[in-house]
Amino acid sequence: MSLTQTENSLGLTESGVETPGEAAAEIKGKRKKAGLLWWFACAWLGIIVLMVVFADLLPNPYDQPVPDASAHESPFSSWPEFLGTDYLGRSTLSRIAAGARTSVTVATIPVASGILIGGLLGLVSAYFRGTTEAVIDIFADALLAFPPLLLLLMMSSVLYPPSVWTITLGLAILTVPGFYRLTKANAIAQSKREYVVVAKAMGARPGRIMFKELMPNTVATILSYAVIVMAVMIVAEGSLSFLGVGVPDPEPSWGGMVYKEKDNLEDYPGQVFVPCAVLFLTVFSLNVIGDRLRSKFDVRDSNL
Amino acid sequence: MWRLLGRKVLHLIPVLFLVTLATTAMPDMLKLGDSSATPVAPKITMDMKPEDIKKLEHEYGYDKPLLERYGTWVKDAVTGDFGTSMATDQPVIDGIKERYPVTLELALAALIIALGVAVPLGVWAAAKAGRIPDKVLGGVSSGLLAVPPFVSAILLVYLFSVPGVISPVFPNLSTDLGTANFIDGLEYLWLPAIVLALAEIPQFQRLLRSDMLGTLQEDYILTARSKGLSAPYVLFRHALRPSSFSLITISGLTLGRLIGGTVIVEFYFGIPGLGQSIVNAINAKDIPTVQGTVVVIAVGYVVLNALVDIGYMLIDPRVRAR
Amino acid sequence: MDRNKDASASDVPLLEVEDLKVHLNTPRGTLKAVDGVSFRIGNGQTLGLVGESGSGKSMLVRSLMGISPSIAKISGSVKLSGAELVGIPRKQARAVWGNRVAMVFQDPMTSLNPVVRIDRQLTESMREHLDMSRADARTRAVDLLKLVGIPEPEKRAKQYPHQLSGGMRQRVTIAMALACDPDLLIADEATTALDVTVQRQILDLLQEIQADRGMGMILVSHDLGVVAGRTDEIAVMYAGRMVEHSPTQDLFAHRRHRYTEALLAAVPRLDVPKDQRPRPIPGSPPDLVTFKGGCAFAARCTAADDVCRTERPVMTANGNPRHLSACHHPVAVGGETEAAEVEGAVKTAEVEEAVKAAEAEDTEATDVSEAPETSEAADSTAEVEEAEEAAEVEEADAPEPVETSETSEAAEAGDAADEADDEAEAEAEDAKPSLSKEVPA
Repeated sequence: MSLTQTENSLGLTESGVETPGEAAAEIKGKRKKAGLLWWFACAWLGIIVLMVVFADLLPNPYDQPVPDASAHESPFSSWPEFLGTDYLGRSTLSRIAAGARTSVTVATIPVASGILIGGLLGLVSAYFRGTTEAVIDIFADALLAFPPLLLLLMMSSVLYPPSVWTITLGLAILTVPGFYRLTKANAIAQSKREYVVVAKAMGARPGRIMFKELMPNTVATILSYAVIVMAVMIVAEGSLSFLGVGVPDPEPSWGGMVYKEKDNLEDYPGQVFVPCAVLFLTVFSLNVIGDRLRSKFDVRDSNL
Repeated sequence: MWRLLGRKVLHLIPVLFLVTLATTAMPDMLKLGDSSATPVAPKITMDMKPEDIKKLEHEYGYDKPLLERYGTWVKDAVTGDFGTSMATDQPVIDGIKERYPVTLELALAALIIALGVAVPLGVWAAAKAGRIPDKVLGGVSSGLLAVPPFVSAILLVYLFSVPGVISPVFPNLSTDLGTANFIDGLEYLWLPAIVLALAEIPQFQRLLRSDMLGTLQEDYILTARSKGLSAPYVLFRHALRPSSFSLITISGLTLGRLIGGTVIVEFYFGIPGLGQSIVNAINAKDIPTVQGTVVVIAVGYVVLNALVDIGYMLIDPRVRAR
Repeated sequence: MDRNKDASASDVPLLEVEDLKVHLNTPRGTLKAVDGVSFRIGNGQTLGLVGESGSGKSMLVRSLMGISPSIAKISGSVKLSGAELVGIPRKQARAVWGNRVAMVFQDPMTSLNPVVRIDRQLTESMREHLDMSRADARTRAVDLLKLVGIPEPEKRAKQYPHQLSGGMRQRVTIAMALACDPDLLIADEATTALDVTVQRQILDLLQEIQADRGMGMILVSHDLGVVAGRTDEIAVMYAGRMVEHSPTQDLFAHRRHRYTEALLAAVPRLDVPKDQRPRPIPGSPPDLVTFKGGCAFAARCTAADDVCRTERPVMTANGNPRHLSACHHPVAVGGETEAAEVEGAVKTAEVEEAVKAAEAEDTEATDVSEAPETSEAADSTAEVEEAEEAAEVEEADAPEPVETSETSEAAEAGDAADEADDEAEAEAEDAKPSLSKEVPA
């Protein structure tokens, strides 16, 4: 059962977070090799980071048509705009790079706030148990009661007009219960260990126990989980934008690029598949890295 | 076991309360973000003055405090009245009734496809753990996991469709689909169902594989093998059931999630289900429709989750005995 | 494959194992778990296979049943009533496993499938091998349950394993093994995981059934006391090899191998003076991956010399042609221990009383379905306490590093109890309402 809990507790599997459960593969010695995939994933994320940092240095801006270029130029037909142009003649390369900024924003900020808020609540809950835990649990459960995409849609209907920031806010709310449960479970498991019992017996204050004893030992687990959640966030933002209720044009977003071009699929498949491929590679890389981190810190061990 | 059941049901009450309260509070949240925003936006015409808008809000009861509105809402909701759509002036419940069967059918079809593919693959991967079939399957499923549903939808449409009818593939689906019979519906729904299933298959397959690997280490599998039973018999008749408890739980939860998660394929394939109606309602700023639809799905999801937990107790004889 | 049950008249032995090797390909290298073992069992005979844990006895019998780990490479020859089993297609081999050779496993708590009803677990091999109809197989299943002493067999057949006590479950596994009327029954430490009191009942049952049906039987145990009075022959294994093989009486009367002697000296006995309390065997068996030549026991043997360390001893008859041993310096004639004495050693007045009590309990109050966990937990705690006491006593007497059958048993009992506790805990967690959504506290 331990597996299903992690997965469900995040409730974000909508977009295909992987199911935990490589433990058996580890027995077979899978963890020993870093492997080609791992390096590939790191390299790809490195490219994404470069894009985020140097997006402004690209030859053309993302929100203006490329001079002397027509609309819908296919990928790999010219240089430096080797990814082609969109329906307005804008540079796909620049839009992908700027879209990377959006993706990184929606991946990092919600996860960070989820860890912060959820983690804190989780520690509090694990330390005090009883009523405190029950009350926080009910709120977490209520948030999880909504299918995640639906909750996002609901929030995007009230957080108006949509922008990167409203979506980031919505996603942040979404991540809290998952991290809350993960932290709580871990901290509870830790608090049964001897060193915490000893600390309690020695009269350490709650804050000290929570932050000095419980927290350090849950960090590794949380962080490896966070990488996977980042992938989920990117997909969630992409999905919203694909539905036309996410980041609005001309602000770039990979999902939004697909949304704008999807009706031209037959004539200009390249314009659709480039952002799709970028999204896929990014999510895949994050999953590969998250999986590896997780098998290293073995989330299952923590009695999730 | 009965005590557990009782606790489960008791736990439902505050959760349902919060869920419904949150949807009732949507207009208030709207104001919170932007004080000039109004829940009656679809009714506003160019020549309206702020007083007229206030009057409209009063007509719809949006000027009352949240708790009072909540009370009214609960009273109405119990009788099946979820208010009137701002965009169409039709009762929200009618739209839900019409569209629910479509979404449910889509979700069920997706779940059945996903399980039908994932169970044999999961068993196979576990039986061949560490060898080539397992590695190939592992690679394919991590690849699939990274494909968001909207990407696989586009990809499949591109691969399956003949030139000229590319997107959306079934543009002329009418809302009659819901009342049409289930089999007829499948004719339209198989591709969207596959798209939805693709996202679930790798998760199911991995889950079953890892649970199955655990089971295959058990002594009772040795016992079964020592009886000279065939490998498929041991895998399917001895190992599958004890390995499938978490899969069954997850399937139940997935069904709930799918009902709320068909949005993307409904939107892309133009399927007249609940998800499509939510997206339309958001674009039309039609809050009562969003509210009603979300609450129906969320409540269904919560109840389904609870039922899955109970079902879980029923299928495992070890738990049942308590 | 013909079922040749009446072959007892012929000269062909029931089981003939020749130079059997089970080599495991581990990352560290080849682990020679069984390294060239040969023996025979006649029809209706019982062989006791004795050795400490890691001696390869379990691996040996598992390779006979086709359930050795996938990394195992089996070579040599195993003939059942003259028909070769090693290297034949899996499909043919399957027709033998569970049918003509059947096995009873160590721990009845784990060797029965918890989510399959007793009757299917009993009938599936009959339906596979004997082509019986569902109804016939069921009738036979109930008969078998009756035969192994399970009250209300009809009702029990419809239950799940967790509704039965440990002793009952082991009876069920025995019934399972008997399902196809095997020619050879292998009991792999079949009583080790059970309470001391239940152990005897199960052993008696096995012996009785074996005598009634004229089956061949292999009793695998780490405990000489268990096999002493119940076997025709005893084979002692050490580090993957057979070191001594002899008729039971002769083994105890004239043991030859130094390891056998050490093993005997380690059996706790109440009928000997205090200064002859159990002597543990110092040291531990060699690493089976790196071990090269010589006698595997040399490092722990008091009589070892250079020859022992370099030359591998072979099984030779020394006087009695049926008494083989592989020792360069066999024990001089005159180790006069009677088998009966050793067997008696495990029988103390206390134990016997407990046996009686448990027998009464086992037959009267068999419906444990209401509170199986509590009673079992209580049992195992008692067992641990008992075992711990024993271990303490022994430590006081024998300060050297201990490796005797008694302590290993104590340790195992402790483990079993721990396991039981863990299981109870895990199940308690499962039972929380948090099955799918919440994190178990």
